Amino acid sequence: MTPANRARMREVISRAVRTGLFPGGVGPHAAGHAHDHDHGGEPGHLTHAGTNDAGVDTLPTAAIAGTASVAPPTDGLPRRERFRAALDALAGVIHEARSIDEAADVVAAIAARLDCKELLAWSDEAMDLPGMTAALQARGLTTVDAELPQAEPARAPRLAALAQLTLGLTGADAGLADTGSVVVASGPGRSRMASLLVPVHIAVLRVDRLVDSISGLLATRGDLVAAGSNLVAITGPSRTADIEHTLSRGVHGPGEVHVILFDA
Amino acid sequence: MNPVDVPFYRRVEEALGKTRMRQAVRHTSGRAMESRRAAIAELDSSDAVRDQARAIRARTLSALDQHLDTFVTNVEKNGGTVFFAETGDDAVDYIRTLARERGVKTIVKGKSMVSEEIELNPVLEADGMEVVETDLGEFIVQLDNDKPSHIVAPILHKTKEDCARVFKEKLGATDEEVAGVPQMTQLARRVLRKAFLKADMGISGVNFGVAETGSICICTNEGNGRLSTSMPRIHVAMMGMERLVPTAADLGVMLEVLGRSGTGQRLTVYSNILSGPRRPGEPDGPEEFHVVIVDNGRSEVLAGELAEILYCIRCGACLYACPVYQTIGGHAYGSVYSGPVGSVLSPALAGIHAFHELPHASTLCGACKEVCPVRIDIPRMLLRLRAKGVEAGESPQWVSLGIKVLGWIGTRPRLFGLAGRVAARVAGMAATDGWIRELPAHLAGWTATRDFPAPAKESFQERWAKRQGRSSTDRSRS
Repeated sequence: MTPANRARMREVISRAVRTGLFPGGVGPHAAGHAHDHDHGGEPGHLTHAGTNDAGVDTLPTAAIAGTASVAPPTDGLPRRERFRAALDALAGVIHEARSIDEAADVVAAIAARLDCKELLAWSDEAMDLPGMTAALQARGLTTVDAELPQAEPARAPRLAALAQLTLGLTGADAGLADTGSVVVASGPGRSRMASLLVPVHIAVLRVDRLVDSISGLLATRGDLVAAGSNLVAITGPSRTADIEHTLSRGVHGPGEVHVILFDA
Repeated sequence: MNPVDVPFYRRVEEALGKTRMRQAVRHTSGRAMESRRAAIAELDSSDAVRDQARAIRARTLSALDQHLDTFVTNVEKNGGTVFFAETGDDAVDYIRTLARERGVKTIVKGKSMVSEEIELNPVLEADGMEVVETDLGEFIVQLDNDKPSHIVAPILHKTKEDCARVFKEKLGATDEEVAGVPQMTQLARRVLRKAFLKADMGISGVNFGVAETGSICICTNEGNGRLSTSMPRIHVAMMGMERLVPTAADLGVMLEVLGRSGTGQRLTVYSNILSGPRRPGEPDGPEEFHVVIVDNGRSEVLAGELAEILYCIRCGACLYACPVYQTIGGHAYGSVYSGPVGSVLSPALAGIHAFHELPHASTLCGACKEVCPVRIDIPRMLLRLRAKGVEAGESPQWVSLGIKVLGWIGTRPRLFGLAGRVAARVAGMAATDGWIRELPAHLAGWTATRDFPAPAKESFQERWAKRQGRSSTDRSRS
C-alpha cells in the first residue's frame, strides 16, 4: 500500500467514525474489555499508537468476543462421541486407528476400493505420523511429490498430473467436536491440494487434538490462524444447495471425506 | 451500483406475473427457513450469542479506522498487498491494471457481492480476459446472462428445470447430464475444473477480515472458494471496508452465527482463512495476495445514522424471512442487494434518489429484525429512509399535495367536520352492503384486489356532539 493511499484511508474512515451512530456496542457481553473506544468523543481521541510506521502492530486487539460460550451445549457427551455424531450427520466416514500400521491399513482399504495406487499426501512430519509413508509403501501405495513449481513451463504439466489423483491424505491440527470438522494448516510438507483437489480426502486426527468448537479453538489457539498462509476448517464433504435448496455433494472439493481418529 | 430505469411498481407487477419464479422463491425460502430454525434452536441462548455478535460488529465499526490500519499492517507483514479503493471505479482499475501487467488470460471467481456491486466482470471481459464464475449458482447466472436474486443463494428464483434448460442451451448438455441435481452438479464440476487448472488469477470476496492476524476468511460449501484462492498464481480478495473483526476470537463468534443463520449449517463446509501468499517451503498456494478494501459509499454510511446497516454479515436470513421478498423475489428490487437489508443498503450506498422506492417495499412487520444474527433494526432505518425520500422530494406530487390539503383542513375544526360529513355521504353512496367494491380513476388500484369498508354514517364529531348534548342534559337533571 502506498503511503498516500494509506493516509487517505485513515483520513476518510477516521472522519466517518467520529459522527457515526453505533447502537448495541455496549452490553452485558461487551463489558469489561480492554479496548474501550468512545465514538462520540472529541476528534483528538483518534490519534492512536496504531497509526505509526507500518510493520509495527501496536493496536490493542483484545478480543471483543468475551468469555460467554457461544457454542451449543455438549449434552455431557465426550468430544469423541460428539465429533462422530456430527460428522456422521454430514455423511463423513469415521475410522479408528491405534497405531501407524492400523492407520495405513485403513488408507490401503480405501485405496483398494477406489482402485488407486498413488496418493497426494502430507509428509510424515507434517502429519506427526513417523513412518507413515513407509507403511503405505509396504502396502503398495506411493505418495507423489506435492510440490507445485512456481513458474512455467514446469507448473502446468505438474498441476495437470496432480489433478488426475483420486486420493489425498493429510493430518489435522485440530478437530471440532460440535461440528465434525478437521482443521488443517498449510506449511512445509502440508499440501493444500491434498484436501482440495482430490475427490476423496482422508484426514488423520489425533484424538487429543479434539476441541469443542470453532469459537473455542480460535479463542485459545489464535496463533494457528496465521501460522501458514492457509488455515481451513473442513466440515464434511463439499456440497451445494444452490438448486432448489436440494443437497448435492462433491461440487468442487472432495465428495468423500474420511477421518481416522488416531489414538496411539 | 446503478438502479434500473423501470419504476418499482412496474417491476413488481412483472414479478407477480412470473408464477414459476414465485413458486421457486416461496418453496426454497420455506425450506431454508426450516433448516435455519433448527440450527439456531441448537444454541443454548441464541439471543445472548446474537447480542455478542452485535457487540462485536458495533465496537469494530466504532473504531474501524484503527482496526483497518492494524489489518493493513498485518496483511503486509504476511507478504500481501493492500489497496484502498474509494470508489467502485478505483477498485476496478486496480484489478484491471494488475491483470494486464501480469498478462492474465483466465480469471476464476469465487462468489463476491462486492464485485457485482462494482460491476467488475464486464470491464475485465472487455479487456479480452475470460472471467468464469465458479460458485454453482453464479455459474448458472453467468451462463444464462441473468442476475443473482439472493445474496447467498443466487438462483433462488430458478427451478431445477430452469437450470437444466440453461445447461442444455449453453453447454450442449445431454438429457442424462441434466437428469437431476447431482448430475448437474457433476457437470459443473467437470466444466469448472478445467477453468481452475488454467486460470492465472483468482478473485474472491471476503466474509471477514481479521485485524490482529492480517487474514481474510471466506466461507463456502462447494470448495470453489478454496480452489480460486489456492490454485491460480495471483489471488485478489475484494473486501467491503466494514467486513473486519479485531481478533481471531471474534472471528470464532461470527462463524458460529453465520453458518447457522445463513444456511442452517453449524459451520459452512469450508471456513477458509488466508494469511498472505504461499510461504517459503509451502508446496502450493498463490504467489501474490492482494486485498482490495472497497469503500464505494460505505464511509458516508458509516458517518451517519444508518451506520448500523454495516453490521450486516450477509447471511441472507432477512431475505428468506421477508413476506415482500417471498412474494416478489429478488430481481424486482433492481439492486445487487435485495430484500430488507438491500432496501436499506442500496439507497444508503447509492443515494436516496437512486433507490427511493425500496424503503417502501416493506410491511414493517419486523421479521427481518427478528431473524437478524446481529439484531440490526432494519425497520427503524426503513422509516428513516422513507422520511429522507420525502425530504428529498421523492414522494409523488399528489401525496405531498394531499398531505398539505389534509393539514390545512385538519387544523380548522369546523371545516374538518364539514369535510368529514361530505366524504361520508359520498362514500356511503358508492357502497353496497357496507363495502365499496370499486373506486373511480386514480383510486381504482386500491379496490382492484380488495374492497374498501364504507365509512360510518355519522362522523366522530357528530357522535361526540350528540353525546356531549346528552350528558349535559343528564347532569342538569341530577
